[in-house]
Amino acid sequence: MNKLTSYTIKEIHKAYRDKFLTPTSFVDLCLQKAKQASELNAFVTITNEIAENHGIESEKRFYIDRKFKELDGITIGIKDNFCTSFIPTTCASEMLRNFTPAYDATVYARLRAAGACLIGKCNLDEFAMGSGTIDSIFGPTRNPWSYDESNWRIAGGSSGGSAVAVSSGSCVAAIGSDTGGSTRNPAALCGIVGLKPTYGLVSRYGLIPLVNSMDVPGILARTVEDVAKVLNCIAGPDHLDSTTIKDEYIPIEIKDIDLSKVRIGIPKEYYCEGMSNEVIDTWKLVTDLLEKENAVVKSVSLPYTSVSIAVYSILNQCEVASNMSRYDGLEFGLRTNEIYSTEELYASSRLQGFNNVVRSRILTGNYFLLTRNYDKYFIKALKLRRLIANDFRNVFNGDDKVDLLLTPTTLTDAPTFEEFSGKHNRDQCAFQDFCTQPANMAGIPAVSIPIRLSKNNLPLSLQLMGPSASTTEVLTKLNVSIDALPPKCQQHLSQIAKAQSETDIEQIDSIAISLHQSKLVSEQLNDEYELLKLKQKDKQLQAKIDRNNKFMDKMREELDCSKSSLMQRNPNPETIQEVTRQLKLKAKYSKLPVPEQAMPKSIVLLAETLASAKAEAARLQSRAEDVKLASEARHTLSRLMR
Amino acid sequence: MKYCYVLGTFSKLKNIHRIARYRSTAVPSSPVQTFEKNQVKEVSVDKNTIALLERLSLVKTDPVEGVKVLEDSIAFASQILHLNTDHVEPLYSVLEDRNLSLRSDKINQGNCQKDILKNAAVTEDNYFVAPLGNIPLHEVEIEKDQKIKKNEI
Repeated sequence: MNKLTSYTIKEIHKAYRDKFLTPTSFVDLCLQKAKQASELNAFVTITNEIAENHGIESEKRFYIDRKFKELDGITIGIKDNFCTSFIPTTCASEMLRNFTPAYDATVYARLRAAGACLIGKCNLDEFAMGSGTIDSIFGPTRNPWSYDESNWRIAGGSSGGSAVAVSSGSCVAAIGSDTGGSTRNPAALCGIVGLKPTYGLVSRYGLIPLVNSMDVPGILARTVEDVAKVLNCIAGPDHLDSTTIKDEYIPIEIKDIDLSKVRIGIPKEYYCEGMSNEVIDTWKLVTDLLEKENAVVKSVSLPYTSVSIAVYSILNQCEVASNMSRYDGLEFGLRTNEIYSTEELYASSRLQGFNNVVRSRILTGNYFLLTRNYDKYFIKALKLRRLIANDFRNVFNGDDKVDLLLTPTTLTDAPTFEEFSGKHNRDQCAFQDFCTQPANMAGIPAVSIPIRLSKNNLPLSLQLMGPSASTTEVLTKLNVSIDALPPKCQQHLSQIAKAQSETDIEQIDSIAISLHQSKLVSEQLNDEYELLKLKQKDKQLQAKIDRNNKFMDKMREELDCSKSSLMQRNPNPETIQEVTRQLKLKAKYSKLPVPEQAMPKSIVLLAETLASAKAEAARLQSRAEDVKLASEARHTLSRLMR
Repeated sequence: MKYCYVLGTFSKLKNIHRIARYRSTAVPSSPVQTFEKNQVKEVSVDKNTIALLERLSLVKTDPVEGVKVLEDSIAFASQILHLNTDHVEPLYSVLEDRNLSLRSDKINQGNCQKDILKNAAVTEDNYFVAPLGNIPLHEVEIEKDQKIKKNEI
């Protein structure tokens, strides 16, 4: 019970089956946790009633229909830039503060179809532009690790709300979006697993676009296994998103693999200026462990890595400039009272609706897209993008190929809010996204895995990247290789988990108590449920008996009724014998036909013998006549002869 | 909520921080830089261009701070300009080697007028409402010695 925050989906489902937990109680616990941790500001909207309803639906499927789905009773958080019908979707921007979509993003629709319960919409940087979740109109999200009210750490971004929701135990898994590292970065800083799938593997329908050619929905959860489970539910072609890969998706199964058959590349260019020693040490530690397990580890080169971040900044701003042009305040979004002209209305609405980060990106993007700059910046960046993608193609193919790339996810552990907010947004991103955005440029899958803690007791994570061809195979490998990380690493991970669970009992007493209470409540509920079931059965039986009685009564009535109606008829059953006797008497003299039904069997028999006797008599008579004729003839003959 | 408890628990696990000597040589020992950093001189953007960008973007920018951020961003992006990209085709989408699937030309959505209109701040008779069009935002003041291509205005 006290380990609730470290439970995997599998364990939660087992607890449901053992009735140690029920979906509704678990959803309540998660809601409670989300509210207790409100100081962390992980959620923009907590969807209380919706979560409870989803929990009840899951409970029904689990215990009454006995047909449960892959994610039944699993609590999720969704980043607030995914459309959810009739639930506000704000993108953490004034522009969409009052926006309520009329449709569901495919990711959310598929999670719901798999039975997941929505706890809330998670905080993010305005329009997902940032890497710290500090530029939100709802205020910054705070990292639960080493939390100190006066000097807290940033959660990373832009899916910081999703990462904190998972790491604080408010939900089992969360959906983020990943344009340049927005899922992996907060996952790394919050000590959870963050997956950026291959571009096009998961539908973007309903994800409010930032950079169309790089956006991917991302998955955040506490273990690789959970991430794979969620991915299995949301991945695959979607006719609503033309950029999804149309091949059939083959679900990932996590199996043990032989590390000695895995070739791992260490791209040397990922060691950049400003990377902390602890991160490098972690990188070396895992490399050593992998070598000890006989994996082939070698240094590889991705020469265009260092310019990737500049190329990314150009492409990002250009696509942002184009994507943001939809926000004019007419059809949806913020609208000011300006009435002088359409353009004045647009400009004033956008001034009020966007923060300065969004506005400066739009402006810069439009600068790169000016006719005089188009080739110089935009086309140049697209050409370099091909070179960056080719770098990856080269290391994943050929004789000297590797299966995976191992790199750090972030350059340091989570910085404090003061350190981070001192810099300008572009510098923050240039620094934070250095290791993560190349995967978006090339569209390849990447996953960030927590490895150990830094001196500041903050999680340090590494990133694995794989080729995008044969996606599922690679993803399996990605996932498995993490699970199969050498024992020492696992030990660290388990220590982290243990520490988390210990703190739950010792420090968060209220939670432990509530857990205990809910256990008792669940047992009580269980008993009540059994009782109710018995009562129900009893009721059903009683109803059956009543019904039968009624039926019998009815039958009896009918019988009486038909009897009396028969009495009134002539002949009636009482007088039938008399009537038949008379009939028989009549039959002696007349040929009145007696209805066969009215004649007792003996009479029928008698009549038959009578008929046969009559026939016999007739036959005898004719014979007698014959004889008589013959004797007369003889007499006549003898007389004549005389 | 106290989250500093994590600190206490972890101070017990000292061995985590004891850093071993690493044998592996795969991880480099110092930062690797493949391309020479192209030090870009300060970029300055003139008033006309700012005005043009504001008009194209339909956003206003802070005349001091905003312009500085713009110039910084351009300088940051300019570090790629010296790289050789001859005979390289632009990569627009990573799915360039795949075919886009086409759906059959059938109506499969509709009857959602209410849903669509409900997010608009002002509507009239089931129409969106906009103020007068055809009035430019503000005139671009062209300095005499500046040349701006026609199609950019």
